[in-house]
Amino acid sequence: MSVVHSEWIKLRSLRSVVWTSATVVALMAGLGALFSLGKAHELAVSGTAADRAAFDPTAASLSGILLVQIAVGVLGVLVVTSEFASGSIRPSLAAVPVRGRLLAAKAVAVTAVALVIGWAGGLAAFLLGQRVIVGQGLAAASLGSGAVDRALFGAGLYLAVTALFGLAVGAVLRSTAGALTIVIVVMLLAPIFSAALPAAVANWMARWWPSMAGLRVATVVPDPAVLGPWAGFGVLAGFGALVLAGAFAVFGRRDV
Amino acid sequence: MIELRGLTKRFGDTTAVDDLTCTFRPGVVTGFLGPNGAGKTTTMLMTLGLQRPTAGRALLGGRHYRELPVPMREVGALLDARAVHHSRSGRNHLLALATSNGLPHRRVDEVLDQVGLTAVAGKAAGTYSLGMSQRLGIAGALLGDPPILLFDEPVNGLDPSGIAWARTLMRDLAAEGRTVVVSSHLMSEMEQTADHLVVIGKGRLIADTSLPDFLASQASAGVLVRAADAGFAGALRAAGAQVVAQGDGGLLVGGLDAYAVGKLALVSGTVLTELSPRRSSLEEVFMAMTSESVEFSGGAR
Repeated sequence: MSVVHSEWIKLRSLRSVVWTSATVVALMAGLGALFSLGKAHELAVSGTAADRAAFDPTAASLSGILLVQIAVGVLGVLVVTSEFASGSIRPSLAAVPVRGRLLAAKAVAVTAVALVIGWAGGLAAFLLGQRVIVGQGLAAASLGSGAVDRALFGAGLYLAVTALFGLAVGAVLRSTAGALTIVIVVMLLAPIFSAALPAAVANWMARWWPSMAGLRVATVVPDPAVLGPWAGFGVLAGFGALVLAGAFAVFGRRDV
Repeated sequence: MIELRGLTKRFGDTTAVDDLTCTFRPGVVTGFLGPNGAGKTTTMLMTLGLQRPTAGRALLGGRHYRELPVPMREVGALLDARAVHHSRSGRNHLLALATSNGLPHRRVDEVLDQVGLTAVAGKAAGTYSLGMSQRLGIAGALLGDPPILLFDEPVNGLDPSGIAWARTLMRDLAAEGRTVVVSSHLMSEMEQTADHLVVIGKGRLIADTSLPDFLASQASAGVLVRAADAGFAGALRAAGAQVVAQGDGGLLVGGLDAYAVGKLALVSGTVLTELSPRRSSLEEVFMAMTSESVEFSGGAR
């Protein structure tokens, strides 16, 4: 527990972490309002009845998560790679020689930050987004319905796994640039480019690619073409657990 | 007490530390000497469990580093003073370290005071001079008030008053009964700080001895003689001495001590203008011992 506290001190003693977290929450809310406005306006002007039925006001207001996840992934990466870059990993591991304990403490601390960002940012984005959607004359979602609450809860979980994925990749690669590239490709670029791939591949990815499947947990309206919310999140969590296990194995053995 | 037993580290074809066996004892400052690349830092990293030995072991009070329940209470180490996150304040750096080992937070203020950094403790560590960084590193090592202390090149970057301070600190820590190991490639520093020397070159043990014994074992530098009579060199040779004429008219005499040379001068009626036993400095002894084991020698150019 003291090691977790120590990692928490490391996080909060960096002004960049504090500012980034606050900015990310604001960004998630702002983007939520903007995406909600775009989508709702399009539907109000030219949407068919089928389009309106498929509209997921909760998911629309949470879509800022696509960009926010990069900031959170970067945070996860930096929690490890900044120690390698500065060399402070040596005093850190001299203080906590049981390697797994240090990495686990970092994981707990960064998960806590990601959850708070996801929940606070998600709630702000949802509330703002729903106001915008009502303003466009569409039916909005409201808190208290099981699926909506689960989606908001899930937004935090999704970002937590993203942060852990960044931390794991950072622990394996030890370099900020390399780890960042992998996080951005896996979490953001692959889903974007999947649209340009042959339909069979694109459909497979929409169902099984970890970040695309995981995002289902932050949606409300079911889509038979893809996994359900928890099944999708399970794919992401399983993938994250696998990478994290690899990171613990490597981090525990390697010379520093 | 630190015991190294057959400690060996190979990186591919390179052997950084080669079957090193020695003991660092409590109550004295042990100078851990060697030219750059001799394996001093690698030895310390293995001792601290940060690098895995290829063979052998390093024991601290009979235990491996990783088995220590509260490591900072047992061992304090200064490795690279610059190894601090540059935007974190010195105080928060120490606070995180202290917290990880459950040390009381007042220790942070105590060690900051002890190393004289209280005034700048709230500033980002990246703004510190090298000397201030060294002091912060030393503060980190002292946090747990440990009986074993390892300092890797601690005076690097300190100004003369800082060096004097560090020297006093090391000696005081040893006088309290702690095991104090100070690595350096600066022999001149050790001459005034260390009681005991462990010298390595190319990863191998060259000497493990007290400072006076170390100097005595190599003190064959002879007697410097200046005589008014140029023929005195012949008289010395006749008495069985080896005489090397120095460029400035002096004679470096081996095989006779100052007393014998003085007596010979009296007998031969020669006026001596200089008669001084030459003790090799630690620097010279060290250079002589490690010249064959320097990792990067100049070579032919």
